[in-house]
Amino acid sequence: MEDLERLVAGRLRALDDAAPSPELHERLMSRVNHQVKTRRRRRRIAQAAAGLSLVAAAAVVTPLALDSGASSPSDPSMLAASERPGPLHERGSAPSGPGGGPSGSARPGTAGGVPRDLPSGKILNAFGVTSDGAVLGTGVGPKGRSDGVLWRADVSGLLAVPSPVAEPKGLYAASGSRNMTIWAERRGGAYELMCRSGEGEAVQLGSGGVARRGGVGVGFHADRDVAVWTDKAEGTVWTAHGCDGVPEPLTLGYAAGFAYPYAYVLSTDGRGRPTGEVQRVQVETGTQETRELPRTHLAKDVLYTAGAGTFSVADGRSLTVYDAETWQASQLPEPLPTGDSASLTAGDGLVVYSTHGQDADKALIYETGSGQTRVHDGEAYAKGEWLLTRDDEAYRLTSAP
Amino acid sequence: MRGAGGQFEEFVANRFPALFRYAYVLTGNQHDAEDLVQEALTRTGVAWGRIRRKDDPEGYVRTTMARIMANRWRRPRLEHLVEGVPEHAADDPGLDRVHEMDGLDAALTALPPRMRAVLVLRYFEQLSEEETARVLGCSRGTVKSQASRALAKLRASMLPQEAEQSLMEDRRGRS
Repeated sequence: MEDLERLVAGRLRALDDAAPSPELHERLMSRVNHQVKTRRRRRRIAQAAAGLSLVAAAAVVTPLALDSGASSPSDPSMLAASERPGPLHERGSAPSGPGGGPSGSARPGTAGGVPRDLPSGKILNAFGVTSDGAVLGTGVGPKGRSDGVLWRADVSGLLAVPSPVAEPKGLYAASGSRNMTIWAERRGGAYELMCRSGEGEAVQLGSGGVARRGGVGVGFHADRDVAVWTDKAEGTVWTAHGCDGVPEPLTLGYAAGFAYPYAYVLSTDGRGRPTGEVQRVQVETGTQETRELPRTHLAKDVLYTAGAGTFSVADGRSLTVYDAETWQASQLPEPLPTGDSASLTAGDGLVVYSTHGQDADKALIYETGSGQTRVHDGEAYAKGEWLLTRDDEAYRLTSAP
Repeated sequence: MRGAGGQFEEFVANRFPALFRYAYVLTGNQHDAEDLVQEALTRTGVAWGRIRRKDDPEGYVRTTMARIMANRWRRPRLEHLVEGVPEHAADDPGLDRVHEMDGLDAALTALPPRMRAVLVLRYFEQLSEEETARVLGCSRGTVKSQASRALAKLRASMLPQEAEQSLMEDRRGRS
């Protein structure tokens, strides 16, 4: 420990003798007790409104319900009680997880909601959810015109009110985690990756631009305050720890997915075409493991995503989930919903394919542990422990810890 | 048998002084410490029935406080507390050491909450980088960069005082 560190430790220790007066103790405890009662009451009301009281009961009987095939496709207990991914199933295998369903240690998830009305007068349209449960999106008016603002709503915290992060040109997607929000911003003829922590101005990560494969991929990812992206200039995958972290090259190729600590990089040849190999790169150590993808999973309009222990591919017709360790593939028998545009996201135990159409939005939600799927009427996104769904005029966040 | 509410109240009654002191170390001032300990205890009270590690509720509250501090950047900072009103430096060699400490304290107070939380966990709590990352829910790299930036800021904030001290010594030498 150097001198300054010792000095800092000493000054902090000197603060450790601040004795609270009995009056302060009384005053704060009175406030705490009042707040605890108020929030518990609000939570009960919110849970009742969201039907979570039913979820609590359903979680207990879920194994039986799943075995009998009697569960409703919209039964949220399947999601609330989901566990880490278990072994995946081949096409046509029985759609139940190891042991026939979620384990008894699962508990109903917590939930929060955020209204879509924005201070700008527009309606929040989500890009997705971050691993810490924040909703990122932009405002869209009744005629479909965007306000051009990147909004962030920390639904899992106390502040569910969306707050503006930036007003970038050409905003098409955003990602983030607890202490970072990243997005691509059009500067001149290219997109640059921008990053903002709450402590300061937005900063640019790297200088080679952001590659967006086939016009459908996002091209950048964030998880646990680590950003991973592909530069357009060199076809190199970069990583940075925090907005102030120095970008470091990871490997060559295209970053198709990232779930900390693993980035999934499509290897490319000298002309930028995928070779069929996927490098699973540990971003802290740089160690790589090579996997392979079939040719049908290399087309330009294919969507990729990574979750905890999974790498998923949607080719517009079907969804295939690879076990990240064994690379065993599980192709869902259900057809994918159709729409004008689509997104593919994954969390700790979920893979979600969501479509946006003129008439309606739909999402296919796949639980990797049990092999169960359901179709949600509305958009949906997963990341980390969170599932974000839209029901009419509000987003709903469900946690499946 | 005591209910969950009774257990929580008993825990708070016993540990409030220590928790308040920790909040004071994290924030550096009475006002924010009150807010922080109140918020952390409220969250703990609401979640008391779900807290798995009932044998270490103080650890839960401390982690909650550290995380609230680290995430405080999301809230608009409407005011910024300072140690005192701005004053002109006095040419008093006996006060140099005091000024140096005041400067460090002021620089610590001016640090962004997340950086200060990292310093508290690393140098007050003596946690490793991995442990600090786990408490704050971020990566080890973030902890390293935050600690490094925080120390650089503190170092930089002390430089003008060193320069001022050197200037005063120079003046004294000439008079």
